[in-house]
Amino acid sequence: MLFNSIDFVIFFIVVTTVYFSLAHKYRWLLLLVSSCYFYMSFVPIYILILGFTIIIDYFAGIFLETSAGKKRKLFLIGSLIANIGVLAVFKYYNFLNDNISVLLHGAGYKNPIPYLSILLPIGLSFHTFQAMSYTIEVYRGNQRAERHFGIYALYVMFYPQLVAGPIERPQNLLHQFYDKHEFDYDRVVDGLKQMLWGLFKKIVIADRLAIYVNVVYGRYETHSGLTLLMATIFFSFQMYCDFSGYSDIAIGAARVMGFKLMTNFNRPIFAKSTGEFWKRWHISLSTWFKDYLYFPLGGNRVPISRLYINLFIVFVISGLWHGANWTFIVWGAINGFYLIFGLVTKKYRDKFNTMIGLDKYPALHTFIQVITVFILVCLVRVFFRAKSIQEAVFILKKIFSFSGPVWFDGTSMVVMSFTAIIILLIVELKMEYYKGNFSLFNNENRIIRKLSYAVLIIMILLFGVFDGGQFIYFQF
Amino acid sequence: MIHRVNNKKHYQKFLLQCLILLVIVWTIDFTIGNGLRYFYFKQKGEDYRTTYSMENTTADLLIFGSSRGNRQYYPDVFEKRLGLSCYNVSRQGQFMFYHDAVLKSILKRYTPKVVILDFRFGEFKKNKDNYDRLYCLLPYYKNHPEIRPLLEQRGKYEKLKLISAIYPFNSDMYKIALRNLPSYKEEQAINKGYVYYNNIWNRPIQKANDSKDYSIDSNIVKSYEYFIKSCVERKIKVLVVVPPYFSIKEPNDVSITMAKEIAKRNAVKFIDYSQDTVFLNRRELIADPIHLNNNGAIVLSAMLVDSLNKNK
Repeated sequence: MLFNSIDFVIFFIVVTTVYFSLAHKYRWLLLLVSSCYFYMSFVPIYILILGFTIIIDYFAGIFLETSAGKKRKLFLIGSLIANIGVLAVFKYYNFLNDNISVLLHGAGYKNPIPYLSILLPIGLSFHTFQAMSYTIEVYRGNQRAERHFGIYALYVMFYPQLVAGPIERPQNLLHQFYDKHEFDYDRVVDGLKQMLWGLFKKIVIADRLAIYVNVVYGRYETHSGLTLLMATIFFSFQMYCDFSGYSDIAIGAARVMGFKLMTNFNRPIFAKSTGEFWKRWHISLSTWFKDYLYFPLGGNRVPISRLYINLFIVFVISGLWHGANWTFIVWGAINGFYLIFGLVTKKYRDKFNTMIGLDKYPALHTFIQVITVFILVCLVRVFFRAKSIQEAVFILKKIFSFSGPVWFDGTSMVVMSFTAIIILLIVELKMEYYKGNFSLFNNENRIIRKLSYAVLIIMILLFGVFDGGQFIYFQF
Repeated sequence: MIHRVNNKKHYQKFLLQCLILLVIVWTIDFTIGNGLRYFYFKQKGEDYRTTYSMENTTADLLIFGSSRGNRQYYPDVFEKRLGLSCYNVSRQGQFMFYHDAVLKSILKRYTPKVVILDFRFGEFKKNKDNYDRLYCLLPYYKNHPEIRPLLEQRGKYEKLKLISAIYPFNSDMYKIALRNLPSYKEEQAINKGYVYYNNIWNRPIQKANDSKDYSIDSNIVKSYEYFIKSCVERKIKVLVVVPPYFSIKEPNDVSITMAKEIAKRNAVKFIDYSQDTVFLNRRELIADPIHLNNNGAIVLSAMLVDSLNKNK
């Protein structure tokens, strides 16, 4: 059941109505049952995998709290192995086997290990990471073990963020299932507004741009460098609107019912450095890696060379999290390189900017920084979108040939794609730099407010892609 | 078990505001949707040709097909040699469901004398795309009840979506505006639904890369059967034609075999030119591996006239 489907609209209305009609003590049960239904609407059998990790982590949490010394560590390791093991089998097994085959083939041997013909359970990386954050936090003593099995299961399965995040922390989410949420008009309207904007981003912008991107990347050999550049820029906007649109719907849906999920995107388009970009993009995953990998590796309290190695490791693993393919590993590695390069050169760049007097024009300086980060991010995303390293390298080579002309499938497509991007940029620009000024959605005038909701709905009807597909991040 | 509502005012306010928003949305949707409808039916281009096919043509001989139908059957040849008026109702990128829908609308108005149906390899292949492509008929949903069941196959909520007056024109606003401009001209020359293609294919013939194992969509088969039967019942002469391909095709395509059997059961002539040497050996008749050019269309149309005359 996709967020951009009528099935979900019906599901959401029914669940929310029943939620507010039920007495507080039964609400967790309703949410758990509806989350199971939501998950099973994709591939029913995979609920068993989810059930397996839930049982393991539930008991691991209790044992972690009640035991001491070496035993605690063993319970934590056991839980982590179970979670990573599930990921390894379902997500990385065939990838590893592929690489073993290549190595053995190079040495003149045949790989005897069979391949598994399995489908990746939807959102596996998301709920596995969320489950792991629970056991780690219990181990660290920041979170009490949850004794109510149903509530713990709900923590992992809460349907708005089950399949594509935000990846929550137990300290933020678990206690909210015990809080009583009344029907609050302002909060419900806020949640619905966020859902509507998320839907707009997904079906008007992301799915519209996807049409062009899929056609060009589908036959990348036949397209010119400028066409591939255009498709790569479009893909950057598509990816942002697709994923942040999903997050908006998830956060909005939870908000309607009174839950506050963490912010996942903070207008990454306006990042002035690659470091800042990662503080604005997929925040729940970036902070997960920071809390559970970067800090345990030593964080900032290590020699500078070690710090760079740590950053690189974190980004390579983050790449691997996104998918079992060398393209994702390279994508992660390049992002790590960007960050390290940014840190190493910061001093010299600042000096250079002072020398040429750029620091006297902060607006121009910011503009150059934002554009530079955007270009760097676009280029590395070629690895994210391409099916293989060879394909990505071919596309990048062709892009840098700047060969033309730019191909467009009709003027209608050009107009709609660019209009979509311009609308996004205007809205994001306003939110970033002119927050307190005139607002349509939050205007004090009730008529302007209502009209702006209505116009957004009409734009979805006029320009939305209704035969659109899945969310990109579902595959992770 | 039921929660006692202690913030009744919030609920009431919410429901009232939802109702107001719904009224505003409905009003804008109705106004813009009907504006688009008005201009849709005034435009030029391929949508106009669909409207003309469904609502205006009274030609004796009709040609149904996709882009290959558009480009390979020359109405002037049929008119001159058969003495029948002819219109090519084919539409680029449209297959059996579309042909079925257009025929249904035509048969509501009059009975043509001859129908030629262009049939392709893998016509019955199951593919969601076949349903998505029907979006071009959504503007006709309102005034053509005969095609509603076909359009409702697009998805279980199609009926619900079609409550909106805008939805049938989704993504088409710019196109409709452009095609209403007095300066608008179609890229290719068009004559009675026939689209000219003048170029000559200059590459050698290759083996076709068709998949042979595919699942059959029973809805498409039903549409094909319905198409044939409706014509036979009205004593319309039907010719199902697999036109030439400029590639080496594997024999025994499931769709072709099934279509041939259905045609035979209904005493309808089925002609397979897919590997006909008249075309395979003459690159000057070919525009690309799946389309004939203007000269090729003249040759194919003449061959079909001969076939129709033989059956008189």
